Amino acid sequence: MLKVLRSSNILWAIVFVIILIICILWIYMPWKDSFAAAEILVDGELYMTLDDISGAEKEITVTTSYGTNVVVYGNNEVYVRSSDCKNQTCVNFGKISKPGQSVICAPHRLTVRICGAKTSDTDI
Amino acid sequence: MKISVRRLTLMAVLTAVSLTVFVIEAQFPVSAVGGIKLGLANIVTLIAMLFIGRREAGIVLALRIILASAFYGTFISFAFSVAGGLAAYTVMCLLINRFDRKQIWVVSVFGGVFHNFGQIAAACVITGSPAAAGLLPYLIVSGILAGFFTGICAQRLWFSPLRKFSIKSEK
Repeated sequence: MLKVLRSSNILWAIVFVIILIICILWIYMPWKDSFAAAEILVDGELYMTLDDISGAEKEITVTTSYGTNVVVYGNNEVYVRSSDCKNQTCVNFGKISKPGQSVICAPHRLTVRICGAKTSDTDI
Repeated sequence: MKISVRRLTLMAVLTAVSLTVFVIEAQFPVSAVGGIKLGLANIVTLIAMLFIGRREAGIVLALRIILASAFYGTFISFAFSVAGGLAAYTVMCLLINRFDRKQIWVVSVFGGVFHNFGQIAAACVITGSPAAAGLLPYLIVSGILAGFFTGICAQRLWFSPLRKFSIKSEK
C-alpha cells in the first residue's frame, strides 16, 4: 500500500481532484440566499451588526485606534472600499456575498463577516 | 555545522533567486482574487531541499522571509509569512523523502495547502476571531492549484541539466 502511495501519480491526482470538488461544492452549494446580515468585528469583539445587506448600497466608516476602514454594504454584498492600512489587502479582496465569508484587515484587527441565518453557529 | 564553499555558494545563490522571484511576484496586483498568489518562491525552497538538504532549505526560506519583510513588509506581513512558511516547510520536510522524485508535485501540493492553513491560523490569532476559517475552502483550492504548479516547476528543474549543481547524492 505504501509503495503504491509513493509512486502513483494518478492516485494522488484523483485524491486532490476529489478534495478540489468537495471544496468547490462547499463554496457554491449551501445556504445560498439564506442570509441577510453581516457583522463587523474589531479585535474579535463585535463592533457593529449590519442587519440588512440586501437593500441599496450604504457606506459606513469604521474608525478605531488602529485606523479607518470604509465598509460598503448592499445588494447582498459587502466590501471594504478604502482603508488607510499599509497593505490594502482588505480593499483588494473584493466583494463577499456568502455566509461564512469574511474580509479581513489584519493591520486594523478588523473582520467583516457575513453570517447566515442558520449557519452562523454551525460552521465556525 | 561544517559547511563547504560549494554548499554555502549554492545556498546564497538560491536565497538571492528566491528573493528576486518573491519581489517580482509581489509587483503583480492580486486584486481579482483577494491575496491569493502562486507562491513562486516555493519552487526555490523545494529546489534547495532537493539539491542541498532540508536544513539548508530551512535556512534559505528563513533568510528569504526575513529579507523580504525587511525590504517590503510590515510586521503583520512578516507574521503571515512566518506562519505560512513554517507550516509548509514542516510538512514538506516530513514528506520529501517519503515520496518518489516523480512525486515532487504531491509534496508541493501538501506544502501549498499547509501554507494556507498556517496563514488562516495567523489570521485567526491576529484578528482574535475564528472568522478567517470561513475562507478555508477557497484557500484549500488555491493551495492545491498553486502547490501543483510550483511542484511541477520544481520537478521539471530536478529532471533537468541543472541537477548537476546538486550537492545531495541520490540514493
